[in-house]
Amino acid sequence: MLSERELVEKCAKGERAAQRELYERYCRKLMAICLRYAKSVAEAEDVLQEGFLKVFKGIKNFRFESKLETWMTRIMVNTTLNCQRQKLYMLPMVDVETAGLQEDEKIGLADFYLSELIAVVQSLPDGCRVVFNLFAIEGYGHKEIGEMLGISEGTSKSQYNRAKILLRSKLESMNSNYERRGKI
Amino acid sequence: MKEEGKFEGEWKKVFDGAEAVPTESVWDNIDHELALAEGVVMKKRMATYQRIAAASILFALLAGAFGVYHWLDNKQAAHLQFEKSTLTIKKKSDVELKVAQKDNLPISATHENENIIHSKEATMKKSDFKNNLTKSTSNDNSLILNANTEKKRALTKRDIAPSKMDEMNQVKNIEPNENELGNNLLAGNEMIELPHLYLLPIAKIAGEPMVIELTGTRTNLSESIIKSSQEKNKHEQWWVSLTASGNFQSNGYSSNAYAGVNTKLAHSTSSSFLGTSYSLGLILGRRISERAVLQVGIQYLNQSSTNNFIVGTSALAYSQPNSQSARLASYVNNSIVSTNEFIAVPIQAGYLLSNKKNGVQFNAGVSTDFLLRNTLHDSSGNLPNYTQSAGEGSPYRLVNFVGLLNLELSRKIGSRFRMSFVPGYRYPLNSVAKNNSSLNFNYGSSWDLGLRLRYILK
Repeated sequence: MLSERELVEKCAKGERAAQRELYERYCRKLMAICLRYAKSVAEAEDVLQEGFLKVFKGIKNFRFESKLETWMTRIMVNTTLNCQRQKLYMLPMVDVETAGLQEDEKIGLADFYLSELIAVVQSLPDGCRVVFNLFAIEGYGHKEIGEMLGISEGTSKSQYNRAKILLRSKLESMNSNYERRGKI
Repeated sequence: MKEEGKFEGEWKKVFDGAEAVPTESVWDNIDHELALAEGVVMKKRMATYQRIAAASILFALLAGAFGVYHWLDNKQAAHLQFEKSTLTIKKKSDVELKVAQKDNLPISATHENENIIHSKEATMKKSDFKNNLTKSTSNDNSLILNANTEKKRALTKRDIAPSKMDEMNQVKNIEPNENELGNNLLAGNEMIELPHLYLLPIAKIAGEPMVIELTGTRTNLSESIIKSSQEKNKHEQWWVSLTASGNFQSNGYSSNAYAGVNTKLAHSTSSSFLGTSYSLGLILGRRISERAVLQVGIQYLNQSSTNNFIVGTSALAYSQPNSQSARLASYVNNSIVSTNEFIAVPIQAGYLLSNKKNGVQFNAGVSTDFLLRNTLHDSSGNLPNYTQSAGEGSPYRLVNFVGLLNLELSRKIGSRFRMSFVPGYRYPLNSVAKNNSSLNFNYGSSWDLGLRLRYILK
């Protein structure tokens, strides 16, 4: 098995076998990221494809200053954001009411399958979904998110809170369905 | 970065290390795209070679055309020179006949009189020349023969003995019979002045055989014609034009902008579109031959297209996702103006159909348009402007090529200016949006009308 450095060097030379191996090593992790940002599996696969093409194109400039996986993840997130920007322009994010938000209440995600949780995230409106992913999973602050998406910090916050409300509501609904099914 | 709460922590934990298997088609597509990209590199190389080949052919054609033009020009000049030699003998003349003496060189019996006149060398018997030289007339209509001998002199009526006058009078009535003259020999070692060479009683001129060399200078009339023609051709060789053009277009664009970005909305759009464009710039022109023209310029080009979409707005839907009113209210009309700004470098070859007071010039060429930026603007004012330039992450190409065809209908104003109306046609050779982009916000082929003010530098 090739080391990461060897793999990168061979990919930089355009060796197709090495490119295939790099894809095989990281496609599943990166696909999970794309799924969180996308509205559907097809859209996620489109982003994954475009992201990998960017990886292969830019790998000759990779200097091992960070982990390869981190670098590739950043490319995927940027690719998905590029794809989302036009959509977000058409569906602008606005400040929304977030009354009734219960702070830091444990929601028990361990009770759900990963595919269910991904489906719940995908069901969020575009703006909420992107802000939720960037804030909760990638760890960006609202100010950074605002700069990345061309929105205000306040809008980012309200979108995130809206995402929390919707997620909680959906998960509770799913929970009650389980309980009902369990009783039957 | 930020503080992480329980909510974020739980989600992060769930998705850390999460994996999902993409379908096999993803790699197939990547493989295909990589192969295409390799092909594109090859294609680019081929395109470069093709361009070099095309440029070489074009250069060869232009050089050929230029050569033919000059050859024709020289031929015309040579013809004028020839005409002059003939005309000066038959009419007024400054022709100088240099007669070089040659010993015993008989003129060919088959020479015709015309040949004697036109030939640079002719040989004659001096004795025949002397015996038959009987005529000369006024100095105005004279032909000067310079003989290379010591006994140079001008023959006039005064020099001719009275006894010969009768003979001269007879000679006056001699018609230029080619056969007769052709058999005669022209000779002499004197400087003579004769009005009509063909009237010389050549056969009877006595003297040493000599070579007559005909040389001449252009008459004033020919010179003026040539000078005028040359001056005309030399004028308007270099110029610089201020140019402005614009167009207006409706229903000229495809309506599926944003398709693929939000399929549901794109499918529900009913769009109408409106396009306007304008350009401002400078063009430097050079006339490379009598009819051919080369023009290079730099222009600022602004192309706008207004697209009306019915799109969803999420504000109400977010706050009341399940209400019927929210669903109804979630669709509104949006009018989005997409503006592309370019720096264009047009290069055109032109052909002058007419270049007088009124001029007609046909131009064809290619413009290389460099995208400065694209701006999306919501006419309703609800959304802020969104601007992006070309680049790796952008869906727009930096370099775009456009085919140009136009006709310059001009009128000369004074000696230095020319004003033109320029109806033209622009045909984009590539899409402004990249191939893999879902955008289709393109400004298609279009007719435009331009105005040019030309300042003639030289």
